[in-house]
Amino acid sequence: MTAPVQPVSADRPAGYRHELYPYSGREEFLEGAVEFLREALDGGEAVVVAVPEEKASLLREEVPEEATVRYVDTTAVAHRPGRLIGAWQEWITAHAAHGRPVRGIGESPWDQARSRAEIEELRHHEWLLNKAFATGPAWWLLCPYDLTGESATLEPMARCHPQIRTGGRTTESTSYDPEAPFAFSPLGDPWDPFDEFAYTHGDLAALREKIAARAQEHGLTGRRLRELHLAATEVAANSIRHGGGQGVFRTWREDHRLVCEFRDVGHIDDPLAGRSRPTSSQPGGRGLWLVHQLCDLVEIRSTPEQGTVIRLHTELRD
Amino acid sequence: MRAARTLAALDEVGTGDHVCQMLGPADDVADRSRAFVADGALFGDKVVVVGTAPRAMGEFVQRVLDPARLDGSLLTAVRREAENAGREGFRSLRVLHHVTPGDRAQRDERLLRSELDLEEFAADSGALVVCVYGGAGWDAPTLEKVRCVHPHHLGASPTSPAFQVYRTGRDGWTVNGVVDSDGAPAFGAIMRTLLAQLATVRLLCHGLEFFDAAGMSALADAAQSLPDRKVVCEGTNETVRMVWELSGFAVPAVPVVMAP
Repeated sequence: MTAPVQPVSADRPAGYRHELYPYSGREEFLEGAVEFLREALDGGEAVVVAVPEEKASLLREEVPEEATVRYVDTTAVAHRPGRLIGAWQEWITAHAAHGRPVRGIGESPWDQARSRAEIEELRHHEWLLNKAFATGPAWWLLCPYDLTGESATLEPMARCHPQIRTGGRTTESTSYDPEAPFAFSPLGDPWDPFDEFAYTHGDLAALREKIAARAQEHGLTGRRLRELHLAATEVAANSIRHGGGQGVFRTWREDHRLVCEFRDVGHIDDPLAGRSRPTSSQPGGRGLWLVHQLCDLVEIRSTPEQGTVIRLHTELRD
Repeated sequence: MRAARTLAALDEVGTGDHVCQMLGPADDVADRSRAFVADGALFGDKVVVVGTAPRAMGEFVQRVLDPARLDGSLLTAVRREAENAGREGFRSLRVLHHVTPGDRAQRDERLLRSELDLEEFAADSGALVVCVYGGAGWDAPTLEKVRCVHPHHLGASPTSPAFQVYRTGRDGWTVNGVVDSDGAPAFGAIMRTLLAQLATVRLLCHGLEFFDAAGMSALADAAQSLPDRKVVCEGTNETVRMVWELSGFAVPAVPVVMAP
């Protein structure tokens, strides 16, 4: 992030407004978040608060839950960035009744992230929010970000937020480029030992058998294995249908996670693919949505030149 | 309770079985069927051949039905034969159906309808029905659909198909195995065929091992393909119910009930 900055009008702009709020420690968090909440309530707006429970408890003491202020449970989505856009769409729909303008406060549990991959995907989610809500109804999301956290780095976050709030003042983020692609870090190499299997039409059952064999070695059975099977089948079927008719599957254990990787020559050109809940009448497009809902973490890298790599992470509870 | 199984030979068949026998190019129809027909005489069953009866087995065959000259449907004809068999003092009826490729444009729909009728007939009457598929003119997708509506399998493709839909009890249809993107078109066609005849299809899913989004889309499309139809899926596991809901299908516009 670089200076100088342009002040942003306090009047509600049309469209989506996505502000980063860098703070240091509890007092500053409360100061900025409460100010944002009270501004909203004074203006007759509704607010959805989606922050870790310890932060929610602090805020509730200052601004209790009421009809216009909803504290939502983020347990199922906080560590699963691929589910967050769908969750925000549902929270806004559920809590923004009566035609009021809506604000949100959203903070991810950055310091409790289980891996570097999760942090990267959380940042990618922040970047995707700008695209996901670019054409929808106007609303305003404040993203508190604790600079005292162990993994805190402001610059990558500033690249994902069009505005930054500091000292009660909102300015344009000069690091944010709406036209630039998200700057992913390169994926790490598979951990040894890994299994590899080339798949094509008719191989889905064999692929599931290979996953089951590896999963069972790590105590992954029952419902969670069924969910991994479903997610893996959706990804492999996409390779077969849209990714050149074939792909290469690899699987390995990485710390407390089982990772399943799929590579093919196809290209996913919509970065928002699979991020919004499907409707009953849409003809397809459920595969990646289900993958995000069924896996603990999903990494997708796709370019026309290099094809697509998708990694599914499943937490092992041993 | 009927259960799906793969047979090593035709002499393993039992009453109420509906067997799909796939012949390889080198298989001799008469040779493969002779023992089955002779066993009919041995057990006191009435033997009906649908199609042509090879001369070598003629002495054991009580009736030959030419599908091109039937007065009504094949189902009507075999039901009549089953009723007659009882009156004529036979233990039961065994049907050997030599299925031949017909007009390709109408084949799939008619064939599926006919096979589902025979499946219901075998299950409800206790008759033994063996459907023999051989010769040229068959395409793989058609044969795959046909295999999926037989609970019992024998012959050149002795392994069971990825999933099977077969009659269970008086008003249920079991689906077992794996319905994924490979099998979804066949599953959709089977469901549409069932729903063309029944206002409500009761689908018993206790043995459904895997059901992906493509399979669920096929079910949702089939359920909405005709007005006032409904599918009740019983015995679904929590993953199937969760994925159905996540896929956006758990809405009134999709007349499918997912029950444990």
